[in-house]
Amino acid sequence: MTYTDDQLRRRSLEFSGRITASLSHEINNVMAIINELSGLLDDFTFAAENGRPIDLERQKTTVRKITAQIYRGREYIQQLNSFAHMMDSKNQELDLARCAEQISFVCQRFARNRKVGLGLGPSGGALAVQGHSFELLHLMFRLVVLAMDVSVPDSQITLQVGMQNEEICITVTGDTVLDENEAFSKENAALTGIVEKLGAEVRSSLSSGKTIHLIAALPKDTWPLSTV
Amino acid sequence: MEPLRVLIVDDEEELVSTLVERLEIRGINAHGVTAGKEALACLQDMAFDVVLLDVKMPEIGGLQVIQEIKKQLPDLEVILLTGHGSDEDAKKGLELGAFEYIIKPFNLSALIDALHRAAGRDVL
Repeated sequence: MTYTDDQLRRRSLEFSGRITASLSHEINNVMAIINELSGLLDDFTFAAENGRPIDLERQKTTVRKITAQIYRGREYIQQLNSFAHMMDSKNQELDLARCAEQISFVCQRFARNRKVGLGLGPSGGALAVQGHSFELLHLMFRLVVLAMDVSVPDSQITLQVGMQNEEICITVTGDTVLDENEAFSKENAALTGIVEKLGAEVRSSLSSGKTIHLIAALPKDTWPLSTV
Repeated sequence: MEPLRVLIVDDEEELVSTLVERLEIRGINAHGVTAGKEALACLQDMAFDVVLLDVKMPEIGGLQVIQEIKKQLPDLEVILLTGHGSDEDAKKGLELGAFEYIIKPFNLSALIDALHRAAGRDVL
């Protein structure tokens, strides 16, 4: 199936909408927690003003919890900011391993909602490629979502990037109850669109009867500058 | 008058524990859980006047939980917690029988006010 630019643009907007909605949801939760923790401090102050003894340890613990939430919120904001800047990124040299870290971070909420774990596979360190970060993130996102769609609850999904048989590959693995044909028939139109755009090739295989491997091999024009 | 009994359901553990403490300070009997399944199990064993239920939760979301609650305990009022002002899910929740929805972060006095109204008690 061939995708028009308009269809791909809509899929890209949907991808960016899902990521920004998820991150803003997390930031909102952080704000709600800080709101309650600061309210609790206010409650302690009110109690002290009314003659109740001050529990300094409880106050210190509450302040530490607020600080922890501020750091948590800062991480989400940094990711959101970094993601926003990727949308207008140019064709440039990128670290594919860093892209995988970002997708793993921003997809944690989706994974929790699907009751699966999501983590990174063993890293071979930085992996320089040539491309648009937004498009590469979009491809990784679609692969991860597809793996979530076919995975069994309480299983672990692993995202890994690296060289395989002289190809630069993005690999997502997860446990499925479906057979290979069923699992791959779940491949969605959204994945096809970005695969076509990048000129990548997607393969799937099943090992041990239950572990599905979704592999996207990137085209040669995205290979490291040094190896082209 | 007996203290108001409230079940708080939200996957953010810190929010639940802090809210429980703040409501307890104000004389409300609050109990918190962090998952929909846990909430449904809790409702089998304990009696509550109102459930404060987060819409977006892993596994069983708030909308599924409210459907189950309304099947099993149709008279139990549910207030939804949502993170978004224009959340379609919260509006669906109202159609499923939620008393009202409150947007996070919220004002505690307004929340307590809503809890009392949901329980059919006069707000002082």
